[in-house]
Amino acid sequence: MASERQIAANRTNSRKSAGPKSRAGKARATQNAYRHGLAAPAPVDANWIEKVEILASEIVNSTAGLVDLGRARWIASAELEVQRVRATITATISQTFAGGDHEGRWVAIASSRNAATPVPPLEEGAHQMAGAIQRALSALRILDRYERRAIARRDKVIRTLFET
Amino acid sequence: MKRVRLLRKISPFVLPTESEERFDDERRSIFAAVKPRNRIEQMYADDISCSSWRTQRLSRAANAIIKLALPESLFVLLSQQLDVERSHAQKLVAAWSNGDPGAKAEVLSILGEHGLDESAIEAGAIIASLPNLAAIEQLLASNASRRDKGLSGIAFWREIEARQAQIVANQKKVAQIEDASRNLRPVKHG
Repeated sequence: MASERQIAANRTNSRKSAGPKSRAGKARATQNAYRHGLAAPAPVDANWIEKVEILASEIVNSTAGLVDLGRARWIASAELEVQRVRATITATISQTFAGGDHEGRWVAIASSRNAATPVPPLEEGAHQMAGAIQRALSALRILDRYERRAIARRDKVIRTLFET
Repeated sequence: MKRVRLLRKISPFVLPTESEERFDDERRSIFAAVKPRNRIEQMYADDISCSSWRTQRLSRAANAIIKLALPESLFVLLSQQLDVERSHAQKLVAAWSNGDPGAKAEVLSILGEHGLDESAIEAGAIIASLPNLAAIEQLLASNASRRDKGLSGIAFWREIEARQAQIVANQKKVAQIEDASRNLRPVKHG
């Protein structure tokens, strides 16, 4: 059983880790669960449905009757998920390049450079973009997993439709 | 007067520092090689072109990351391992980074005195960048497997098409045989 001293220490320590105190900290904590929204299915709105229909009809028309519209819709929807992840990957690097660490929380700032050393003479764009990719690396690894899953889902849809 | 903003078309693959024309050229050449026959094969061809584009991007980034780490590596090498005085090492690294020939010669001479050359600077830079390079390597491997899957996806799809064509051809043959057997007259013997 915990002693009085341990109980007091536990109480003191728990007060230290009771979440953010400042308004900015609280605002940031409200977004903790939100990352990139890729784990959730894409919002099915009129725009999404239109995209699915366009792609599905392209699939039907180009496969000479091998794929019917129902199957084509499944494939189109899965392919659009892949494209959504790809757009997020490009946006993540672009956003980091544009000056921020992407969403702050989930991009590890990779290097803590020695202030004594100057920046080497590299081409402006290449140097900045390398820095952006470096900063976005941990986010890119996460997004890579999502892309892999999205592609696997799409391929599974295609394979199971034709293997049956 | 109202200011008109010209926005760049947002591409899902191309970054602001990359050339959209070059990406389109490469995509075209991949499509010319793969010759996708329908929209599903185009999806796989897009997987291949996207992976190939990203592989180039990551390789460029890996190179740049090592280049960025060179001055720090030289500074650490000079000041911590070769006993060069810290302020002098800072000046030397700054001049060396700006391509100053005098500084380059001095650095080479210091390294030479200890039996080293410029590859020691590169080694230090690579070691310092290893966590990032390892992460890039993982992404490169992932891209490579995606490209291979794109190719195997096209192969799978073509196999399906071939099988379907075979089924249709067989059905035609069966129909022809059935037609022919119906048209055969019974032969009277005796």
